[in-house]
Amino acid sequence: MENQKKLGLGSAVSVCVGLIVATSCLLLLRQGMGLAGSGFIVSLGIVLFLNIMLALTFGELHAIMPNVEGGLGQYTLAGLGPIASVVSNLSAYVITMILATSVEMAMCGMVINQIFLPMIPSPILSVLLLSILFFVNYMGVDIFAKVQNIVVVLLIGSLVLFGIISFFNPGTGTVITAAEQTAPVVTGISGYISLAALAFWLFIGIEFFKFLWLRI
Amino acid sequence: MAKNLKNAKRDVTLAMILGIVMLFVVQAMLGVGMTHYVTLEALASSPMPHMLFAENLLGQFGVYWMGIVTLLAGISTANTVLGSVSKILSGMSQDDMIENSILAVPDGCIDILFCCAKKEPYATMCGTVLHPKVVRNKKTYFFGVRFLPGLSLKFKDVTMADFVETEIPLLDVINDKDLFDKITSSRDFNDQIQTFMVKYLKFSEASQRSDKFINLKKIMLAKINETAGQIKVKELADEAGYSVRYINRVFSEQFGIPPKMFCKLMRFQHLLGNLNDFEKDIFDTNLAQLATDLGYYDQSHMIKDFYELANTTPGKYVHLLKESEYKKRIIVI
Repeated sequence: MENQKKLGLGSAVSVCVGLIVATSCLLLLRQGMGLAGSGFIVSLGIVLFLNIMLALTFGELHAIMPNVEGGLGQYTLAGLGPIASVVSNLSAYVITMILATSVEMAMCGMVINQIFLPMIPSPILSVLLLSILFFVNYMGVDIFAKVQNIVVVLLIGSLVLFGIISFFNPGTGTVITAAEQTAPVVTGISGYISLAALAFWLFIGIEFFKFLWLRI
Repeated sequence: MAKNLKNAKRDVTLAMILGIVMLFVVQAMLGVGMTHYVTLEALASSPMPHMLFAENLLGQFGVYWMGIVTLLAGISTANTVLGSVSKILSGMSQDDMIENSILAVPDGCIDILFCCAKKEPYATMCGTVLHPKVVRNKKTYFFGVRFLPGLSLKFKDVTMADFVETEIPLLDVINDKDLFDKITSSRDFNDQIQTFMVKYLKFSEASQRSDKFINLKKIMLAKINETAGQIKVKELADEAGYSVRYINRVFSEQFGIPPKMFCKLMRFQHLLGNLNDFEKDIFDTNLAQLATDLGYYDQSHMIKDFYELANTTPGKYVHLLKESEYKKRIIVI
């Protein structure tokens, strides 16, 4: 904590992006896209707007109550009382994280199964990985503390690269023509709005923004 | 983190917004890009659509790349969650979200509060609040000193007015690291009192010598205490032998709040004390009597003042007392 250089705006942005993508929901973007096609961007836009409001709210809250450490829960405690505060903390951090993690672990299992170990079923791999992580954490060793930044850079770099490659079509694969593309299942504004709930998961790390002020 | 930013107020919010926008752009691009290579149907139904996308995009190389990225992301996320969820839950119980806030009511006093937590001890000097304010403190060992109303030490560059409605770190006011260390590291109440008194006497002598208003202040405070705040500024001025204007100016300068306000706070504190001793069963009839006894114009005036300074009504307060038995929690030495 001590002797830290002051961070500029650029570093702060990278921490923010890292926070969100680290709790990545690679799967959901594809699913949303699969359901609504390019229209999913509308849902993304709605969530973008809501999240910017959220960011501004946190900014204001921080200005009013600069020294709280319990995060969302303490703001809620001051505003709405203890029950709302417990509920908000549980739903903002605990439940979302539990749900997101199960997806992550399942995906890890499937990926290992598909690429490296096709003979072992993926659920077993997932549970195995989870138990390893459990023990590592139980022993109090933070294996990712040192490589966290590399992981974030790798991750975001890969996402950007994949995005550029696929968007401008210089890839080696075959491009699907408009005629071959199947029709999206969800269409119309109301459909996009309901998909915003799905899109929210893409920014799921945002609850941790307010820890920006306290951590690192 | 905020402290490490060059311009925290602007940058944190801006960084959050820029971060979200950047992410939006990347994800939108990736999403549209995906529809170039994979049919929507396959995207929606496949359990691992991103692997399918990577394969269609870059062949086997794409699969490995995306696979490793997914693994890294998944493991790092799961690792963070395992670490942080438990921390958040334990933090919730430590902060004691259920019940650990105190309402600070105006009292016209200056307090010194030592937080003797093993981790990050601190000490602050707090002036009076002018409106009720919720204070949240961690549950740990505290040592506190309260000056009598209107009394304080005299400091070089801090006046009593600077304390009103604020807290100032003790070391900024009294640069005595020794006192701070001794008190925050001790767990023996009597020991702490002794340590404090030794230092305090020195400070107090020094500050009394340099205070040219000391006699006037003494007379005014004595008079206000005597009457429990039931005194007009005019009477105060007559008593001291100065004009009302002069008294108003000196009082505000020296104590940080105008005499009228100070008297109101004293009256309120007196009322609080009376309510704390109240016969709880028959309070209805007595409240009106109490109001006139304590110098309020009538009961409604008293309730209005009380509500302004305590965020509740006297009746409700007495009810609250009945439940919590206030006296048991105060140890008089």
